[in-house]
Amino acid sequence: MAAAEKASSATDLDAAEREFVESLDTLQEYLQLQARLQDQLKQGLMNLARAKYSMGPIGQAQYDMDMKASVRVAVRSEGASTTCSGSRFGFEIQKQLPSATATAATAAARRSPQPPAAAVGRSNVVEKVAAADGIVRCTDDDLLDNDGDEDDGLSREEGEEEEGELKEANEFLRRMRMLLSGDGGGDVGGGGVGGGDGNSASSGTAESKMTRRLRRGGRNGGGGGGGGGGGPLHWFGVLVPPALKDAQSGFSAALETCLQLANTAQRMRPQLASSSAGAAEEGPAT
Amino acid sequence: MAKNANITSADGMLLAVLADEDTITGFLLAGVGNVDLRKKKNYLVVDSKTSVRTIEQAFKEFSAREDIAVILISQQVASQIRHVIAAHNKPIPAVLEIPSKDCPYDPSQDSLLKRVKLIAGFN
Repeated sequence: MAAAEKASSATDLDAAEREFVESLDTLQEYLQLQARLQDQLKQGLMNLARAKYSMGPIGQAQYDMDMKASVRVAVRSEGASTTCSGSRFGFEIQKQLPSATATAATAAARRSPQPPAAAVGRSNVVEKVAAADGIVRCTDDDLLDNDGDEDDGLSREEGEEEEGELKEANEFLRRMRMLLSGDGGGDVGGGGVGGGDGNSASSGTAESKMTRRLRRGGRNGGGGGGGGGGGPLHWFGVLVPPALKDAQSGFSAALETCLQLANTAQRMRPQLASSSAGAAEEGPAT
Repeated sequence: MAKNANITSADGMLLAVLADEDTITGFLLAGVGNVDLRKKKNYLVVDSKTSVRTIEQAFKEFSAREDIAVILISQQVASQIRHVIAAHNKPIPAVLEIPSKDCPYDPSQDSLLKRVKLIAGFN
């Protein structure tokens, strides 16, 4: 009986010792991650300062007030603890595509029963409409060849938000076709704000109208996309210094380190909870 | 007995940030920033004119929101609302102190490490 008690107490002591060593390891990992985060933030802030030096002030005045997060956190519940203090969660980064319209295009291409080549062609056309800078470079072939396929590909499931985005993109395509047919089918390729090279005045006007509409549509389609890729960079102008892009990548790395830190802190929670429970038991006993 | 890990949020939750303007700008560049339909932001820019009450209100608001998983708070800002952070016991949102722009990270100020020190008896 005494031997059994001794054995169980020895086992308990071993378990407590293991737990203590694990908690110290977790603590060390936490401190190492904090040091890494400090270096990454320092580097990111240095790049931001360089960008400020070359392009002027960078601050709240340039923030987009309709910004949407492109980086989110997926939360996993782990552990079987029933108490709030002992429960554990894991965090993972989820990155979304920069443009909701691009998401719609790729989703439509995946859902379509068409052969891959036609699906790629269709999605290319839709993506061209939703290009980040709003300027579409299409040829008549793209518009005419995909006409039938596009309509067939429009059979979609109900209640999908992406279908609305795709519909909007197709509306722009139809308007483009109408404008082209109205002006005698001028070549649209390479159309800029000032109209095409050597085109007639009317087709030049139509092209500039078209380009303005597409710019508006591209801006509307891409404005809700928020960060990632080039989203937040565009708040600070079309041409941004390389230092700003470096700052962006630096802070993205820092963000991943932050989530690792959060996961490490979550690992410490049950250990803190069990240690505080053990301390509470010993308190009244002494 | 360990439960199987399951994803509690399929759509993804947000990160909130309370820090100086440059740090916030950096994290916004990384894609963290979000303004919802009610014009509620998930960040607070703290400068010399920001009152402690404003910081407290923002922190309480972020910790009460159901769509925020992690709150990043710079250590300099955290030291102004230490009592509020100490009272925060929920696992979600997780509160993480990050180094400030002007001051390096001080482990002795970190609320999590303070708690570990207290429990382990390292005084």
